[in-house]
Amino acid sequence: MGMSITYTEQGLVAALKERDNQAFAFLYDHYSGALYSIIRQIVTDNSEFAGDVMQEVFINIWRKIESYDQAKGRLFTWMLNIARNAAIDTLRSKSYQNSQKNQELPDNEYRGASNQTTQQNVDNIGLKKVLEKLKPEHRVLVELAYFKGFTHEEIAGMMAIPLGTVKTRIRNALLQLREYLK
Amino acid sequence: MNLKEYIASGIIESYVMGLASASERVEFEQMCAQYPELAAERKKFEESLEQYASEQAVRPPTEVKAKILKAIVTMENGKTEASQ
Repeated sequence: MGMSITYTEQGLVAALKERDNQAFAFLYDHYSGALYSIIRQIVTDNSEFAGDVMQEVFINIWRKIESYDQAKGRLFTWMLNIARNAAIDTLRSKSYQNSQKNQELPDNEYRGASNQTTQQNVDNIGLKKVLEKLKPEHRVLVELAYFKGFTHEEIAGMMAIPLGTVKTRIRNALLQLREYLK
Repeated sequence: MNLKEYIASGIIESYVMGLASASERVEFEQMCAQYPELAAERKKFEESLEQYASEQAVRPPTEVKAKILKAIVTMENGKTEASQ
């Protein structure tokens, strides 16, 4: 591969908006690993599904690049959120859930936050690895919100804790995560 | 609430990671437009998140790239034909 073109973020966005295939190939080469990582942290058990999510994500990036607004955040942040949302949609899809049925008992998964530490059956990569440093009562909330896509309201119901507490704990957990990322 | 407290509240992280509610997002975007210091803090967090995510990259299956590029070329050709 003799590709020597590099882009600034601004230049890359401009080229993508111009529908430049070469810029898109560059985008893929530079960001696919980081985006695939987050997809695998959400769609944990089946790489075939994760590959499909990847395709969907990059096609969506291509289709929606016009709507990306630099004033609201960096390109990577925008793409990361597209990837996370697509992965969560797959996690909730019938076909994924059917493929999981014989492998686990989802109903028991979050019965007790204290059990969490003994149930790490997935290779921990990326943010999930950082998550391990949090207190269990914080970790379980970030798991449910960020990696499973439940709303704060849903989590309050599931865990039988007040909505305000869910929000405060998640925010505190994210502030701690930030410290660990440094 | 003053700006310092707002910055330290976890709203930046919550917004960037896609966990803020619709009304929190609207408020945060307005605040960022109004206070460059807040936007700068957001950018700092975005950069460290991006940095960490690229350190933790996982190589996707090799066939995925070709499939995506093919899908995009097909989409673009479809568009050109439609507009002719």
